[in-house]
Amino acid sequence: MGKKNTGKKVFVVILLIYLLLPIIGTLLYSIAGKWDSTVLPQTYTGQYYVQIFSNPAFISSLLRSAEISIISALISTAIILPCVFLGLMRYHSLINVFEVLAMIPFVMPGVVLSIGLIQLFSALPGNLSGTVFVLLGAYFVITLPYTYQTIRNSFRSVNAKNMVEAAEVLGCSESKAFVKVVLPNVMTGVVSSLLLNISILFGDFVLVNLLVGAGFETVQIFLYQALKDNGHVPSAVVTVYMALIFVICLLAFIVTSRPNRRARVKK
Amino acid sequence: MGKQHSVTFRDEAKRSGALWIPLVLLFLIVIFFEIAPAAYILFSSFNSDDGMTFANYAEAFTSRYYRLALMNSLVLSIVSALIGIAIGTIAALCIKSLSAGASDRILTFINTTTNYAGVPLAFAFMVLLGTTGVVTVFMKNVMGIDIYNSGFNLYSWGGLALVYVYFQIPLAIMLMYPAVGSIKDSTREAAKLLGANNFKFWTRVGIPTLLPAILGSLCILFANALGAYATAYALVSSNKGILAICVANLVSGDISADPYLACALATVMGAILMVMLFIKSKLYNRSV
Repeated sequence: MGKKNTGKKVFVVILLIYLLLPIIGTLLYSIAGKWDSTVLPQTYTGQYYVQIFSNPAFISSLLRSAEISIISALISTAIILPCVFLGLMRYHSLINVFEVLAMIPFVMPGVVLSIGLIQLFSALPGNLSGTVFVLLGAYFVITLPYTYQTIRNSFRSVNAKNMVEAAEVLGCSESKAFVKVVLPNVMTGVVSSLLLNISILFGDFVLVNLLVGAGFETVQIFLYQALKDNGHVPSAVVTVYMALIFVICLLAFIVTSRPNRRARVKK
Repeated sequence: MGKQHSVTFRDEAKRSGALWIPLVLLFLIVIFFEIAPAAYILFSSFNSDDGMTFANYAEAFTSRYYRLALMNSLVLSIVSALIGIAIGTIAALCIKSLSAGASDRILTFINTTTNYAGVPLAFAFMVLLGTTGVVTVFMKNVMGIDIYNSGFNLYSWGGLALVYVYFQIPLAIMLMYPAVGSIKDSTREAAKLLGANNFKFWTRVGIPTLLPAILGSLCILFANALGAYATAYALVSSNKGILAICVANLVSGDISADPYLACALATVMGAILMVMLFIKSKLYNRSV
């Protein structure tokens, strides 16, 4: 039994090394001065980070990525949260509709969705094609499954239905119950859904590239353009991106693993 | 109490208060950004400058270039999905056997690596295994092995598959981890008591139990690879014809813009994915 467990541990270790290799490789490349044929770089330098952080184009691309991810995540959560609530409380068929909607992005990957949106909005009146507005709508659609799933799970775990029914028995109206009873208790789920959305959208390339292109340069587009330069600058960009993603995932982990607060009602 | 049974929209709206606004917004967004584009693609695929026609589909299936692209995409997706699920399932089983704290931490790490796909991943592999990549140069100068001379090429189908496998594995682990909980220690011990060795246990009990989850996850991994655009675009751009890149080029390419053909190809892709979705819903949802 012991021998078998060692084998499993070895496998996991090898797997982790394999997964970490490209990440560490990029990190080392971003701080490497001279690195010819050794395992580790011979000299280290921070010049590439200085280079990108003093590049206003990089800073604004970071801000754009952050902006659109956060705004899109907020819109998604703000719209889907009440809808899931309504679906659970009254319109049960809405939940079925949600389940179907959540599957559509599976059959319409980024490329397909983009070409549909490009052609649709070119044909519609108003000059919306190629604007960030279309991008926002596309982001809402592709994050729908994850937002829905996270919020639904969170409702389930706090037993929202019973809480609201109890509140209504005590004379609370439905929207009041939503704000004062449900909201404080599903905050964890809401925050983790926001963070999940942000991490997904930060990594999107296909939609930005096809729908808006260089008109709205996010980190991913900036990185793609930087690929043509020498390898050290893009690797600094990639490392910054991966560090950001890591921080977001860490936050999500912290938020979701805090001990469950007892259900409380805001006075 | 004399309440009216037939409810009008106004009554419902009044009762829900302001909560119906998000509902309306949701439907508007879904209609304009999900349903309408899908319908438009379907409609457009049968369209052309001269009116309704099947010609786009005819070209998609008879043109050597697009048949090849379709074939390449399917093979790449299947291969990366198979390797991904094999490694992922074994990894999930191994992780499950660790202590609860360790497996939680490892799973969290794996969860973050599912985000490392697309342009950053392609670049990271270029840094490692490109023609002047760190590992390439190291192996050439220190170990005397020139991998590019021995047939390896990051910018070939093999290289692309290698990168695809990298982002399939974490997804496979996350998909299979809930399912491997059904291989309980008690079952294994019972099998051992009855005289089954390891091989017999896995072939008779283990794999059949996991099979629905494996096949369902395979569908998801396949769909994941088929729809992948950024990774291939960053690594080989238009040099390797995969379906996703073909579709994008036909719409936004300067030379050969043919949106109708793009829609036909996109519909083919969507149809394949719908089949995958159907299979997956029959298998995976039941087993987890």
